[in-house]
Amino acid sequence: MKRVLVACGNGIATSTVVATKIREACENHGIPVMVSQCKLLEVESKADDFDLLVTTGKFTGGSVSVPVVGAINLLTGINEDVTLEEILSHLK
Amino acid sequence: MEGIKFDSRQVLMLKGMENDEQVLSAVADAMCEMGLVKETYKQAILDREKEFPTGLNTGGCNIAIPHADVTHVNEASICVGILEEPVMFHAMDEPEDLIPVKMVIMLALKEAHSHLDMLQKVVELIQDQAMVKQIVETEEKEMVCELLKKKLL
Repeated sequence: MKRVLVACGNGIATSTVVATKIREACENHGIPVMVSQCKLLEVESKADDFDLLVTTGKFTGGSVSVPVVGAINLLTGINEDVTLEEILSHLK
Repeated sequence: MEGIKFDSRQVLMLKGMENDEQVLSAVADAMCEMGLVKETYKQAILDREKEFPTGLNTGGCNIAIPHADVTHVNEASICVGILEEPVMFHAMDEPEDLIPVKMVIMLALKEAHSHLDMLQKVVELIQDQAMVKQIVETEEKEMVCELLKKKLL
C-alpha cells in the first residue's frame, strides 16, 4: 500500500480537502492508499516515510527523496482531473 | 454544515481597502468583535499570510481563504469579505505572484482535520465561478448573504 503525505500551510484546512479527494479517488479506482496530513514546515522531517508528497502551498523546505505534486488545481478546479490522474499514477 | 456559525453579520462589504493586510485586519477584527475568535487571531492571520499566502488563482474571480491555527478560535465560523475594488493577495501555490482578489473567505476552524463538510462547501463555492461572479457583483448585502447561505449551509 502506497503512503501519501499531504501538506499545506497550517496542515488543517486545504490539506484536509485534498487528502479527502485523494482517498475518494483511490477508493473509486480500487487503489489501496494511506493518506496523512501535515504542515509544510514538517515536511522535511516526515517525507522520507512516504511514497509521494502532495502540497497546496509551495514547498521550499529543501530536498526530499520522494516525488512532489502540486495540488492547487484540486482547490481551484482548473485541470483538477489532470492533477488527480498525475497523483494516482504515482500510487498504482 | 455541522456546527459552523454563519449569518449575515459575518458578511462584510469592504470598500476602500488598499492592501491585503487591511482586508485581513478588517475581517479578523469583525470576527473578534463577534467573539468568534481570540484577540491573538488577527496577528496570527497576518503572520501566516506572509509565510503561507492563501490567494487562489481561479482564472476568473480570485478568492483568498485566510485561516490560522485552531488555538486562536473560540467558535468554528467563517466570515466573508466582499471587496468593492480588487485587492492584491499573494498566491498560495506561487507566493511571489500577486493576484487580484474580489472575495475573502476567512476560516476559523476549531479542530484540525475536521469541518470537512464546510471546507468542501467552500471549495465547491470557489469552483462555482458563475456563482462567485454573481456574489461579488451583488451590491445589496442581504442578497449576498442569501447567495452565500445557499452554497455554504
